[in-house]
Amino acid sequence: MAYELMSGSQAAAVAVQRVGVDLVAAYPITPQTAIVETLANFEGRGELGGEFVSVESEYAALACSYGAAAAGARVFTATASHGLAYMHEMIHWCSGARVPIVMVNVNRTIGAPWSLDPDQGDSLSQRDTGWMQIYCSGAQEVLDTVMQAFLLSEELLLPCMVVFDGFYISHTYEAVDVPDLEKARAFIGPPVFAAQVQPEKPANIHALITGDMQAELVRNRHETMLRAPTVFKEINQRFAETFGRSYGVIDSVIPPGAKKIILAAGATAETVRWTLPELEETGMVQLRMFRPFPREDLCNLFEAHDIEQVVVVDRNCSTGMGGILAQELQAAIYGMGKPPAVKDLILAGGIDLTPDMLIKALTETGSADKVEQKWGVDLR
Amino acid sequence: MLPDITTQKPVYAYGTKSSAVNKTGEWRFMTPERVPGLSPCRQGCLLDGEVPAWLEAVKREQWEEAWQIMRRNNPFPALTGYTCFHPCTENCNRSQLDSGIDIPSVEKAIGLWRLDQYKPGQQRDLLKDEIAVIGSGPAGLSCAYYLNQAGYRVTVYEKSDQIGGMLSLGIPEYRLPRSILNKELNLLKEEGVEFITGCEIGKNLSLDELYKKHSEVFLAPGAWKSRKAGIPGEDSKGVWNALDFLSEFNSGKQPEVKDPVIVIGGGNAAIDSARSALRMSGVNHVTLVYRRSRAEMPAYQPEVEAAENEGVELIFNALPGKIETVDGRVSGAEFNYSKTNRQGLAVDKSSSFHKPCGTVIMALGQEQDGSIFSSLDKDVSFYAGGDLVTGPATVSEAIRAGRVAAEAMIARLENLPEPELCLPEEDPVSFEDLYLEASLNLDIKDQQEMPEKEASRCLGCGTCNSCGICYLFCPDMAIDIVDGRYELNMDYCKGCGICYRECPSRALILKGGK
Repeated sequence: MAYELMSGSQAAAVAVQRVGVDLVAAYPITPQTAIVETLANFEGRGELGGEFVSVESEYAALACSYGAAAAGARVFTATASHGLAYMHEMIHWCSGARVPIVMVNVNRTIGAPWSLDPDQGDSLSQRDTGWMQIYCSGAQEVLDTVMQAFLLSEELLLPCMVVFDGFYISHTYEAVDVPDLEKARAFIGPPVFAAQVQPEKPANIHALITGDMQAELVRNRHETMLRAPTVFKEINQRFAETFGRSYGVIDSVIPPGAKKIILAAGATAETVRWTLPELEETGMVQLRMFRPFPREDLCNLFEAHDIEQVVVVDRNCSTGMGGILAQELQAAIYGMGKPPAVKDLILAGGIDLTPDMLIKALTETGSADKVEQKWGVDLR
Repeated sequence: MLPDITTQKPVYAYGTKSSAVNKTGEWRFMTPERVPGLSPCRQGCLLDGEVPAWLEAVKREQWEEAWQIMRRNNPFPALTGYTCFHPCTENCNRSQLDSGIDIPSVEKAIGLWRLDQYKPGQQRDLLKDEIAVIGSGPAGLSCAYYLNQAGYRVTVYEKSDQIGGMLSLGIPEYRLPRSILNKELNLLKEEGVEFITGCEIGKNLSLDELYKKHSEVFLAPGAWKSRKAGIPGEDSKGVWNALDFLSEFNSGKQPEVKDPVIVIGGGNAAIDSARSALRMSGVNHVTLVYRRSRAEMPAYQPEVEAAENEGVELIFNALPGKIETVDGRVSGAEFNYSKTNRQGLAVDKSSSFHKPCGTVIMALGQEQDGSIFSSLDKDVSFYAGGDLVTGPATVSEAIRAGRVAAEAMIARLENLPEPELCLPEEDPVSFEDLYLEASLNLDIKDQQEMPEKEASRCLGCGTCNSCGICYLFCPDMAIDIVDGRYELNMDYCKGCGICYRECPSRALILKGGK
C-alpha cells in the first residue's frame, strides 16, 4: 500500500491500469481530459497492458468499445457532458447488446449556453439507457469504484457508468491509497464473459426480432440489473477483505434521534458529511448507486430510523419537474407505511454547495408534508 | 438467443440462421422498378431491336441469351450484320464521350454464333394451319421464320429458281457472302419451312388453288420493275437494267459486259452495279453518273466511298440525253449537265458531254408491280409487306414487315389481341440523362475487336448493362447477383431510391407504393 497525491481523474486512470484492460478507446473532453492523458501516458510507457485507440469522436469511442467488448475484450472509456450526449445511441445499444463496459462520466453542464460547472444532468439524463450508474464523492472512492465496476459489469453483462463531479473531484488532489498492481490484478482476475462475436462460429447478433422477443430481453435486462445491489455488496465484501475498504449502494450517517436526513450524490455528499456535526438531529445518506435505484436499502433505512423528512441535494433539474434525485426518491418511497416528506434543494447549473447554504436551506425548510423546492442560487 | 447462465432466460438476440426471415421489403412505400427507356440505338433500329439488352448478354458471354433477345425482333442477325446500314450507330451516346459502340460487329457475331451453334433438332410436329408466303426475300423469310416457330406449316413460293430474293439476286457477294445466306436458308428448311422455286403465282399456280391450300397468304414479291429513262437507245444491245445485271452477276452467270462501263443512277443498286462490274474480268473502267449532287445521293455513303476507293469514277449533276449505238450495240452516251432550282431538277441543254462506252447499266430505281393485286378477288384477305408495300427499301425494313405480318396472322388465327405495330415514339435517353459520374465502364475508350469487350462498353441508355452500381450502393443488400445479372430483391428493398439515383444507365424508375 502506498499513498499518492492524485486528482480524481488520475485516480480513475490508475484504477483502469491496475485492473488491466484489453482496450481503451476514448476522446478527450473537459473536464475528463486528464483521464485520457493519464491512460495515454501509461500506454506510452508500455504500462497499460492493452491497446489505446485514439478515436475521432465520442460516438466512435463507444462504438469501438462496443465492438471490442462483443469480441470478448475488457474495455474502458471515459467522457463528459456533450461527449456523453453524443454517444447516446451507442449507450442504448451497448446495454441492449449486453456487453460489459466500464465508462467514467465526469459531470459537466450541457449547453446551450456553454458551461463548465458540474451539473449532473448529463449522466442523469441517460437514466433510462440500461446502464448501471454509481456516483462517487472523492478520489479514493473513484479509484476503488472503477475497479469494482469491472467485476459488477462482467458479472451481470451490463455496462456500468462511474460518475463524479467535474473540477471538485476531477481536478482536486487527494492522498489516494493505490493498490499494489499484482494484488489488484489478482483481485480482479481475467475476464470470464464469453465473446459474442466468434469468427469460427458465424451467427447474426442483435438482428431484427419481434416485439415479444424484445419484451423477454428487456425483462431479463431489468431483472438482471435489480440483482446489482446484491452483487455489488458481495464484491465490496471481497474488496474489504483484500484492501481494507468498502462501500455500499448507499452510505449513511444517522446520529441518534435524527428524524431528518440529507440525501446527496457525488461531491455534495462530502460537503454534507463535513457540515453534519454543525447540524442538530440531522443525518445524511450518500446515494452511490443511482441505477438500479436502491429502493429497498433506502426504505429499510428510513423505516429503521423512523425518518420524517429527507432533504435532497439535487445538482440538476429536470425542466418541468425539478430535481431528479428527489423525484426518484418519491417514487421509491411510495407505498411505505410512513413515508418521509421530501424537500428538494436544486443546485441546477452545477453551482457549489457551501455549508452556509446547506444550513440556510435546512433552517428555511418547513415541515409541511408536501414537496418543496428551493433554489440554491436564492440561498447565497 | 443465448440463455443467461443463471436464469436460463434469453440475454441477447443471437441466431445461427439468416436474418433473411425478416422480409424488410414489407416496409417499403416507394418501389424501384426496371423499366427500359428508349435508347438512341433502338430508336434508330429499323427492326426496333433491343440493342442494349443483347449487348448486355454478350458482355456476360451469354450468347444463347443474346440470341433469344435478338430473335424477338430479328431472326437473321448474320444477314443484317452484313447488309444493314445500321442507323442504330448514328446517335450512340457513347460517341459523345469517346467512340460509339460498334453495334454491327456484335450483331454479326451473334448471327455467326447462332449459325455455328445450330444443331438440327428432332423433326417438330407442325400442326397448325398451312400458310402461303409469296416471295422468298427478307420479308418472306422473316414471316416464314416466325410462323414456323409458332408451329404453322409454311410454304414459300418463289418465282425465280433461287431462294432469297434481293438477298441472293440483288446484293453482291462482297456485301453478303453466299455461304452465310445459304446457312440461314438451310436452317429454315431444316426447321420445316417448304420452299417451291420457279413458281409464279397466277402462272404456275392459280390464286384459287393457293387459297384452297392455305388459310392465310402473305404477299412479299418485292419491287422488281425497273424504271425507264425514256431516252433514245435505251433498249439497245449492251444496255442492262441494274436488277437484271445484278441478278445474273449474283447467280454466278457472267452477264455480257464490255469495257468501259457506265452506270446511271445514285442509289444502292447503282453502287452495287458499279462495284460488281469492276470485279468482272475484262472491265477496267467504271463510271457512275448521277443527276444530282453527291450529298443528294440516296446510296449509303460508306458504300459510295468504298466504290470511289476501288476506282469507280463519279460524275455528278448530269442526265443522260441519249444512248449512242453502232450496229445496234451501245457505243457511248451523251449527257447534259443539270442543276437544281426551285422547280426541281433542270436540264441545261447548253452544256453536254459525250462518253464512249461498251456497256450501260441503268439503275434508275425499281417500282412495285401492282398487277398481283388486280388478279386477286375483292373478297379474299391477304397480308402484304416488304418492297411491294414500301417501294424499294432495306433488308431490315423487310424483315420487320415479315415479323409484323406473322404476328398479325397468328393473332387473327388464335384470337389473340392485335400486336403492337407502331415503333416507339418517346424521346430517347440522351447523353445528358445518363449519370456517368457513377459509371464503372468508362475505361475502354476505343472500339474493341472482341465482341464481349466491345459490348461491355455499352452505357445502357435506359437498359440495365449489369454495371453493378446498384449492388454497391444498396444499403439493404436488396440486389441479388443472378447469373451475373443484378436483380432487385423486393423482399428486402425498403424503397430508399439510392439505386434509382445512382444508376448510370437510367434503367430504373422509382414509383410510389409497393
